[in-house]
Amino acid sequence: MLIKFLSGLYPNIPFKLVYMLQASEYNRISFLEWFKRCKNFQSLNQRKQFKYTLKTKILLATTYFLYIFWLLLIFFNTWNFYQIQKYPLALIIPYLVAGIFLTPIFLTYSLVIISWLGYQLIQKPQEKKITQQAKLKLSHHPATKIAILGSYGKTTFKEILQTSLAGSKKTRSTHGNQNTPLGISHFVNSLTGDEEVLIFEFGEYYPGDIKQLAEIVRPNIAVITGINEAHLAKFKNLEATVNTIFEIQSFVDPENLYINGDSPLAKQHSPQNSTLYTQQGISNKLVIQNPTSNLEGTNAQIIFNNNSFTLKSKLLGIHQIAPLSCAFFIALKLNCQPHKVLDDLLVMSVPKHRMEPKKLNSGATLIDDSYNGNPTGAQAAIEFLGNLTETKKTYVTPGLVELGKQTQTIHEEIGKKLAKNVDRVVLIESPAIQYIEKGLNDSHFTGSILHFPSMIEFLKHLENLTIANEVILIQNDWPESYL
Amino acid sequence: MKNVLVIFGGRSAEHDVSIITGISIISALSSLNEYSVHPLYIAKNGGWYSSEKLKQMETYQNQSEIESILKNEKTWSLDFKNGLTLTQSGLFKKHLEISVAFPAMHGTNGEDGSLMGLLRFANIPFVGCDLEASSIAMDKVLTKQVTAQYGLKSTPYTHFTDIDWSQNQQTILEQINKLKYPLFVKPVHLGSSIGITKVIEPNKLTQALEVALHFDNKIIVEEAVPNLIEVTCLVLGNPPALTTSLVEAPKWHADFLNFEDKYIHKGGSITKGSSETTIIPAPIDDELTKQVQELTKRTFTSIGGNGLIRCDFLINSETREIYLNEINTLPGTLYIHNWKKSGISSSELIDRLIKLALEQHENNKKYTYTFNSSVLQTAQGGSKKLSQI
Repeated sequence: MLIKFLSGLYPNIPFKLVYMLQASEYNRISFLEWFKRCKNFQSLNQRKQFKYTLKTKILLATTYFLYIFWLLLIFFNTWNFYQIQKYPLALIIPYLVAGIFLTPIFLTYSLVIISWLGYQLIQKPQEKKITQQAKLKLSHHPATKIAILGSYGKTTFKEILQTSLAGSKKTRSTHGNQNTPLGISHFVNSLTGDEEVLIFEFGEYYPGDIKQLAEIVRPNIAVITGINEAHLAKFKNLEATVNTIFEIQSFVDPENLYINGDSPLAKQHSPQNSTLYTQQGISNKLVIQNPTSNLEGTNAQIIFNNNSFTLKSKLLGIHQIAPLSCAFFIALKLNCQPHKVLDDLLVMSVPKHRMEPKKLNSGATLIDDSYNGNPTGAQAAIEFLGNLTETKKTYVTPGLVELGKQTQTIHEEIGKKLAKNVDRVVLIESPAIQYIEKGLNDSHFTGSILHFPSMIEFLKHLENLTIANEVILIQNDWPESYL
Repeated sequence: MKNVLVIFGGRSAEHDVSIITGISIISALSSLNEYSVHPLYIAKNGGWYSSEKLKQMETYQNQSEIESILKNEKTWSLDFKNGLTLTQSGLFKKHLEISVAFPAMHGTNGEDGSLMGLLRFANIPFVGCDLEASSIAMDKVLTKQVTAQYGLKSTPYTHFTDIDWSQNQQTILEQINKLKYPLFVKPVHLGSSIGITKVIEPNKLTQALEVALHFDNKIIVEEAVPNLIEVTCLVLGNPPALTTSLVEAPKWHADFLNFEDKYIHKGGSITKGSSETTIIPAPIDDELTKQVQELTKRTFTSIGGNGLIRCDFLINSETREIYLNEINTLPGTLYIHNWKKSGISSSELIDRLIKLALEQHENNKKYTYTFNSSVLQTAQGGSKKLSQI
């Protein structure tokens, strides 16, 4: 505790706090949780580039002002108490010490209040105006609008669909974190009006999110990529997650609602006449045969309309077959040529940090899955590792975030699955790894377990720890706000 | 936590290669939580230095930085009281008790057994071969003579010293001319292919001998192997529990695998070990591979090896005869690139070597080195007391 408060006295503390607020994506609850958890503000590794926007400049200036103001106030009062009021030292010194040590708390809560006020008074009205404009623009836009939503796999599905369609139609899709009303509105603002297909990734964090996005976009087609415990800390329970995601069904005809049938929760709640896609095929309309996956990529035979097609992709993992086939099917429904779609999927690059393979100097293969932070993805990645024929398999993870009350259960299951599929586990320090270790021990794991304080520390030693013909899979890298 | 002292550099022709080996050992040790790593760099001027900066390769690549360290840092010395302690000079001396030493000094005054003798004196565990094995391996003639007793073949050879050459040149040349050309002329004690010449015609012989004599006082001249496949194999362990590596075939561009190929060309077959400079596994059949691996183990045992050695063999691909060419008790970078392909990571290799050193040190404790005797009672000599005259 002493180190925490001493580290909060440095002159750089206003910057550190504003940086973390930005890194928390201005989620004030996440920011406060980080503040409570943090043991040393000076040991914060700035992994992201700090963006100097108008908002952050105002916040920085205000926080620095408050920092100086607070310290001056403490010192002025101390002098006043001592020189004029003549209070005894036994009262003054504790006041001075308390005042100084309370500096980070004062700054943090002030920042939260300022951020909230700024959002309510300035940002929210502006956002409303921008989203209304986007809604109006989209209502007149002739393009086919496709929404991608779910607890996991959205970004990969979006990339696959973009690739499938872009060769035949003028297609645009949202980027990176453009999955909120404001993000989507900025995307809509950039459209030229002659696009033929628009693909939107919908992010859901709280009940009502999907409804709000669907009201802006009014999609013609929607794809639910799966439902699981990801973001459970925000939804509180799975029922809320399911209900939020299925808010989409009010906006799309059932036959244009594609649902991942390999996700039990999604399948269970799918409306009648909706289109289920699985690793076996799509609702009797498309059949998948002989799926295989290794370090070179993923392949399968597709039987559609009595024709046989060979699907080949550089994406890794048998679980990719279902989204690849579904995207192929949607593209054909939108009158794209099948061989063009397959050719484009063949050359599609693996999305960054999503089962992205890289070769190391030692001859080992590193699979970077650091953007995958959900239980289903973790299980799929472990299974993929387990099926490889390479000599040694290593799995690296700090565990998963935002699983709420399911944290222990899910991580223990991951541990148990790892015990059967890998030779070595590297655990990056976090509150969750103890459960993974329990799962490993309960399953009598015979391989080795290594511990590292951070992912950066592990990566420094990676070449020393690996052999040729080894596969190392890095799963999830915790955002700083969770450390 | 054990304090491991990595000793590298030194006053030898292989000083720079030693830095590469030392840094790779330090890097691998840093990945292991059970050791505290301390570098001991012996500069070309003979000074001993130890600092955190000396753990980074960038320091040695920057001439001004290394000169600054040599100029400004205080030197260190060794204290042999109660084991080995590293002491830094100065008003406030720093002391560091060493648990295990890791020699990484190639060539003369290091790999040849000199350093091992010093470490024996300190009576602490040290990694790798002991004094006897190191000095045998360092001498190409001794290597052939010792290993021959264990059935290991060498190509026909002759040898002489600089004194022999100055007194009996004609006799030496006659001995050499009994061998079949082409011949290899080599300094006996040097490594990394320094001072070696391949002599194809007799009229080039004398020049080759003079070059070699420039580097060493003892020279060996041996026949080349026709239909040559050159291979390398390593062995790890303390006898009898030995593990061999994959057999490797270095690629070379000159008449033989020279310094340039080993360390410079495309990063070096030893320092980089990439597929452009070496082939792992070597392109020989399984039977030959097994033979090479067995011969490597036999060589290791014959010289009394510990820890790790590398053996270079010359194979006549037509007759399938395998000749031992050289032994190296401290291969550059410990041939980490081969061990990785053999299934052992660099940190695992280093960890095993340290544990082997500890095991060997424990083992040596069972031997008696001193005992009481009455020999002093009857000894004569020294100055006598007046009463004794």
